[in-house]
Amino acid sequence: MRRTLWTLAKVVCRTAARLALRLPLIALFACTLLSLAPGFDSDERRLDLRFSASSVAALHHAQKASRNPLVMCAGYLKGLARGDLGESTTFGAPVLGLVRERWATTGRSVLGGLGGGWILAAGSAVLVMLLRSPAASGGAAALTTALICIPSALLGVIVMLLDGLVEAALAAVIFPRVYQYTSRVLAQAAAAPHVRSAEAAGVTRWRLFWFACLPPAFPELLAVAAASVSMALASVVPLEVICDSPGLGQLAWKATLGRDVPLLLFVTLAMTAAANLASAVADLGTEALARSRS
Amino acid sequence: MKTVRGTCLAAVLGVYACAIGAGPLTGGSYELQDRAHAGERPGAVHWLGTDDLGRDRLVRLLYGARTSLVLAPAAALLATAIATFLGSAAALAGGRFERAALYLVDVVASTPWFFALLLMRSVLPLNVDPAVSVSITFAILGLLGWPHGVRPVAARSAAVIRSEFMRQARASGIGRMRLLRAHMVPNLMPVVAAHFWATLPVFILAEANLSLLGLGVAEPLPSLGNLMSEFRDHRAIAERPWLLAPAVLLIGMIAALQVISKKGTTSHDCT
Repeated sequence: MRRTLWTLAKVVCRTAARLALRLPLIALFACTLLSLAPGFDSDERRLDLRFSASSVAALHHAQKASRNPLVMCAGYLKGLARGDLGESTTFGAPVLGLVRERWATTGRSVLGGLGGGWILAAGSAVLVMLLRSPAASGGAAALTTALICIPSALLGVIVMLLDGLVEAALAAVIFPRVYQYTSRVLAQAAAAPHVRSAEAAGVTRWRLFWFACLPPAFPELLAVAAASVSMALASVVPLEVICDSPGLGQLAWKATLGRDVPLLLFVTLAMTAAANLASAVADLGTEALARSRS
Repeated sequence: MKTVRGTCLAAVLGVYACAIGAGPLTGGSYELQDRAHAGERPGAVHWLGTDDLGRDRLVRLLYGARTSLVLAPAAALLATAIATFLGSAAALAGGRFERAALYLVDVVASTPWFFALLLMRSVLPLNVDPAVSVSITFAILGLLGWPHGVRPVAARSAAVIRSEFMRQARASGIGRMRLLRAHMVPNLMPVVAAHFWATLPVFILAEANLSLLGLGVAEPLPSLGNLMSEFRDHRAIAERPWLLAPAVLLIGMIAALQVISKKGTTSHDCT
């Protein structure tokens, strides 16, 4: 028991270290994107006629000097380590305060959307697998293909027309993607020779699903779960904007419109950290599962 | 299935033909304003009605389709080229370089795509021409859409490099260029094509999402996305259902592209 706990602690520490190493690299990637963008050194103040030519030149020079992504990233991480995330230029308030006010709304939407999407997707995939009816699988495939073709912002509009919530729109975004992966993974597991021979021997479909199809498919389903978190976080921006939900997605949109780099950079890092955390948890689960089996 | 795929291909080609020939087909410009008939319902003159500025909706739809459907494949090509270059370079270098390159690719791929798009979009120049804005929007899509394609290309490249037939070809003294042309490229094509077909609908949808939020193609240039920006006032759709035309065209095109590319594609973060 003590040995198992020790091994598990080691795995958790390793995953945490990997995650800690990743975050500065993600920050560097984000800073590189910013510095590569063609309008990085343009400043709204340069259009202000009250600024003299020399002031405009000084502004331009200052912007150019901060273009090095390594310098930008180091400065940002130093501030982050001190708990100073900068001030939002759009809202004129500290970034941390703005994020603190809104993260719960986004968290609720993401959890609700993921929960709804997964219940629908996993339920449909299991049902299609148990029924083995071409009509059911064809209908589910047609529905999911149709849903995948709709931009998430448009799904938000449809949900608003039906007086629905952001969670419902997010579930509609997650459901088709998760269904397509889940049904494929379960179908692969069901096509294994030992499952087929068990079925021929008269084992019921439900028992086969529970004892022969689900366990081997579980690691892949965990990976899909981690990927679905990333999908949900990416979809949160258009959905919160369309559905007028005051969360981090809407904040990121407002920051983009207002060229509010400190705010947008932190929201991007926070979202990436959340996606990476979900992925790390899925990896941990897979490893723990593999160890418990061996 | 073959008939369905053939029908979808014909529909896609038809839409492309109409979109590319939008100018001669409509005989008008997407900017042309008929102020006397602003906000009109569909009729004999304006088949899809006019917008609040008196611009013909059908003309704008065709020009918008041209913007989205011509530039999205260009962006998908750019993303595929970057993925192919990085993937094959990593596989050719092998060892630590390959591991380091693929780790960095994983780091980039773990960033939610839409946020990376917003980051780059947030610092675009302030006063840009609509033509420049549309080029930048699709260039950003192309420059950020490559990470998911690198691993499959690297894996396929490594398999081809270590294959028996490549060893035999090298032993027979075949030159590097010929090896690349006769063995590498044909064997990489299925993976590269799969990435292209998987990213194409993703880019069309991403442009639609960005433009619907007012962050994509700038007015007066139409695109399927910014034509849908009127949907933000969702009550307008119930009163004027013909506003849905760009959405119907977009969904139809994506569905047709999905059917055409069904074989061997792997879709990723398709928001």
